[in-house]
Amino acid sequence: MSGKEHVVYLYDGSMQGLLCCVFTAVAEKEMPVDIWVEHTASPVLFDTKAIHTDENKAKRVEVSIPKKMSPRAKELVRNVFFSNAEQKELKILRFLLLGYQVGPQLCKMLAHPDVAPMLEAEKSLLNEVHLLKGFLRFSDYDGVLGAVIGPKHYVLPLLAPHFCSRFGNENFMIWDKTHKAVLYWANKKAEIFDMEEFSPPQPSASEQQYQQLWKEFYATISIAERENLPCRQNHCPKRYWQYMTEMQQEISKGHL
Amino acid sequence: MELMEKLRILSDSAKYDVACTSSGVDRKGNGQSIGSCSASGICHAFSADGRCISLLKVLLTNVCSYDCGYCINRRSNDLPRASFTPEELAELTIEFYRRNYIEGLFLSSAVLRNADYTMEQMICALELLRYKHGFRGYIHAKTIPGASPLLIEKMGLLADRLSVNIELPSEKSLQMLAPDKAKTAILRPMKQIAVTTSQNKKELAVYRNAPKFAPAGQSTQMIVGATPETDNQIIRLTEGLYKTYSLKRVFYSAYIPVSQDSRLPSLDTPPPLLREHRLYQADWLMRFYHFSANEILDEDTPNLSPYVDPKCNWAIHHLEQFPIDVNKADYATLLRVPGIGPKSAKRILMARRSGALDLQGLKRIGVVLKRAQHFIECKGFHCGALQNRHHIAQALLDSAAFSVGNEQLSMFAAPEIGQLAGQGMPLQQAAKEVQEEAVKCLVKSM
Repeated sequence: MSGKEHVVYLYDGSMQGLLCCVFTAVAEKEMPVDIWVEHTASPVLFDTKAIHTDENKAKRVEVSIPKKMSPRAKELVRNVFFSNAEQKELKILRFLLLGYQVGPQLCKMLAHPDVAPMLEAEKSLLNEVHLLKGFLRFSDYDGVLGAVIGPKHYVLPLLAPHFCSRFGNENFMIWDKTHKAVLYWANKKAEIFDMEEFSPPQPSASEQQYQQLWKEFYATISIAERENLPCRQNHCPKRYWQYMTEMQQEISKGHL
Repeated sequence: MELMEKLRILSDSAKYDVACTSSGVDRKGNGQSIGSCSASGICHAFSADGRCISLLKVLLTNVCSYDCGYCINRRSNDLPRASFTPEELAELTIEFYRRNYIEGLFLSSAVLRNADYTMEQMICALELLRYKHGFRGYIHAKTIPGASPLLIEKMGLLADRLSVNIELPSEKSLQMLAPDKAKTAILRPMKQIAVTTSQNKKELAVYRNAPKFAPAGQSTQMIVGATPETDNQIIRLTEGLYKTYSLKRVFYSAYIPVSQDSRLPSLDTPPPLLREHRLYQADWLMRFYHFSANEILDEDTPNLSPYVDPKCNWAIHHLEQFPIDVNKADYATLLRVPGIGPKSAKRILMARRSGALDLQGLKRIGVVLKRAQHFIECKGFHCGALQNRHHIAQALLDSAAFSVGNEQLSMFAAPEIGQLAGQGMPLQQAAKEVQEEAVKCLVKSM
């Protein structure tokens, strides 16, 4: 890579915007030192270059990934973009630049320094998705199910297929407090949109009763002679507790 | 009786059942009714003992006509008794499921009147769930020993997994402690389930819409530490069960004394958790690492070492097979290396196709080198394996077996530490001495 050194790309934070950064880096034969989202950037020593989001350029890059590399490479890029990995934009850029060189074998080069960090970031995201399939808790608000989560990664697009399939006969919403977004499933249609705030209504008497029954079950099913709190915490990290019905009693016991 | 109290009594009575897995079957939602299954299984919570809660684990009733010595629900035990009606249970399951508390239901029962009557009640609850509520989530049901084959078949068509508990690792122990349960009453349904499952697979191959019989297979569990069987006997029995009845899982349950009984360990005996842990490790070697029971234990060493996991133990006794070259070895050979599991082995196979792996590369793909480094060579690295045996032995010891808190012995600590401490030695010192002794012992056997 020749061209200007020490330049930071600024983009609009969208996937398409990032693909345009890739387009520019390839076209200008330039390797930025980092890629930042515009409004979060503060004045720095480096030169900055604002990358304009252009749908055509984004499309060209998007189409090229499964064609020149593999469908798996496209999926991996999407997943890492949803993750909260540090410098994920730069990771994706490096990965794709390598991909344009090596082609279809890209995703099999597990030990390559530009591939391994992508897989690691994806693993962290998928791990959280898996945990939340279990740890998420709905409450019944007059027939509509509502849940609040506080994930590290942007998990809603990956949770959607699971919950929409499982609760196909219900109407539900899952509010992601971290990313201020909501997954809304009603009348067999799923939508994800921004939502700044959500305050759950008071639970009804029957909702409270089921919460109580669940807490009772949770407390009873443990075998006192085998108590092992560190093991529990390994499997269920504390950052999930505040959203879990049965853990409220643990938090008040002072385990948090 | 209040639902709350029933739930408390009937989950309390069910908690000693180990299995809470929801794996082995993939079933998408159909848009019309509630539920789906995911082959990997999903844990919904973890209880204070660190065990996964995946299913609503309850008994239909804990009123029992049997009197098994090891069981909390035995007839002669003075215990509050309760029963769910099938309707109550079905509704509770659905309401828990809707709130994403659980992956499904694990239904077991004490023997109310007789085996067939109990099975009919259980089947009634499952039918309500499947047909009235259209429930597509996971169901694990326990068959009652001595139930008629027709009822077992009926239950298998409703449940994803069936289990028949073998309870104790030998017929002799079973006779002694569970006089109402004959060995044949346990093995006959196990065989029936195995045969029906295999027939069902053939039917499904021919006719896609054939009703599915226990698609997630069958499992069993046995209590460890209540009776005198050795680990060797237990893992041989396990191997036999996997082979003969195609079991998906064998679960082990460290015995927790539930009664003062001269035939059983006294009430102050701590549950043998470390032993249970080692048995699970041996079980994994047989299921995922291509090990046979023969390679793990024999008549001369009838029990698993508390100090090292069974795979490390095997490697130490077969140093002549190491080091292996990670850039050349096949899958089965890679699996023999302490620290390399099925995931790492598969990654190595894929990664090395685009260039020989060095230590950095191995680390990047997630291979943990702490133990593996003593048994492998790769690009630019030849292990000094056999040079410092003392050092290797220390790296291989399972630190959990020697971890002691400030004043308290960890539940997973090697029993020898507790014995020394019982003789008045300070805990930290006892742990240190046992550890040094274990290292010496390992070095000697290399």
